[in-house]
Amino acid sequence: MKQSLVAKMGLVLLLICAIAGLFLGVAYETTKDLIAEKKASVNQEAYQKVLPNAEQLTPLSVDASQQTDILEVYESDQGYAIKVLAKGYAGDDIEMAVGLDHDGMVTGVEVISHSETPGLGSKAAEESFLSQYIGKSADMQLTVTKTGAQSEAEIDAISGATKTTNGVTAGVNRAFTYFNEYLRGESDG
Amino acid sequence: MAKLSEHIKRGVITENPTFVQVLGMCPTLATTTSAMNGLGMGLSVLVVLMGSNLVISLLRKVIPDKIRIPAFIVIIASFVTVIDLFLQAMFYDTLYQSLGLFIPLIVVNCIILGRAEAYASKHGPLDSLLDGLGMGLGFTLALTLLGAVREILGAGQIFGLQIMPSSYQPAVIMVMAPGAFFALGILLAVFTAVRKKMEKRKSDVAKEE
Repeated sequence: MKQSLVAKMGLVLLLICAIAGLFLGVAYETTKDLIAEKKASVNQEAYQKVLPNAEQLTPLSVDASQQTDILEVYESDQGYAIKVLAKGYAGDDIEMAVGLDHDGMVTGVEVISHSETPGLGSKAAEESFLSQYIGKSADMQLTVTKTGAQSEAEIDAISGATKTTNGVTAGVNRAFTYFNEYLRGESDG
Repeated sequence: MAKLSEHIKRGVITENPTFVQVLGMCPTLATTTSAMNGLGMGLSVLVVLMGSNLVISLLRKVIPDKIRIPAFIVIIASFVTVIDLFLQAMFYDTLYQSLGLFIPLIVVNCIILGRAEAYASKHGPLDSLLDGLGMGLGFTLALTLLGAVREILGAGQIFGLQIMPSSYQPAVIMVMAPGAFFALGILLAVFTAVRKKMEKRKSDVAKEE
């Protein structure tokens, strides 16, 4: 009696799980391509924005085991688009695209995804903040200031979101070091 | 039809999951930084709740009492995963960015397991579906309202549209974590006061008769 009850319970649970699994498999298969497409198009849009006049973007290989925070690098006639993983407030991920021309000059910065505080850190994704980076060069080491940028290498912090500003700036600096190490001078000429 | 309006009235007013039962506080507090986020979260819960209520009600005689909790969780988690995939596929660049983390957490939202346990496992499929609709609507309205209040005070906007005059200095704390508690507390007080008044009027009328 008791044994058959246990067997019945197991069987019912097994059946429910099996049907749920089947159902999920179908859902995953049908949405898989759509999601990948959507993600890729979001990335491509960001790359287009940071390299405004680029004709065609060709991916370069990145050694993922050594470059954990450099996600993707694209090359074009206008320069490079580098996708960087930066750390925002509370260590949350900020995915951003940094566009550099062949001389290492910033052509644009876009935030692809972030989970910063709405109304504060989220301002880092806005044009008015990100345009500060345009024209900075990979020879610089950018720093964040709260008292108004005095020199070329200084970035004005977003008020109330210094950590986020630091994160984005560190991300741009990271793109600079990668550029200096691997990309500088490679396709010149 | 009478059944439908009764279920909606129960979910939205008399047994509102947020303002009366005070269930599912984690997503309520965390996702309502704007009216749009509140609406998105509310609708996701609405869909999951209707789906899980319907399936659990259909299976209520098949599932042995002793294993009902794991069975419910499997069913709820499946619906949540489907919603998660759907949102990624459709709204990856907008809504999913702000709700992403909280979608998987719908699985452990007390409202959903609570309705499964208290309602769907004891009632027929149609009633359960309507119960899910009513409760889901109540939750959606509550979250949208909370998100709207916080967005208006904290950013001077509603659904991303500027409505406050530009001289208004936004109280940024309202879109941060403490603001969630302030807004929820105020709304709870208002909602309870209104509900009490309505009940009193009803009982007064009953007495006179």
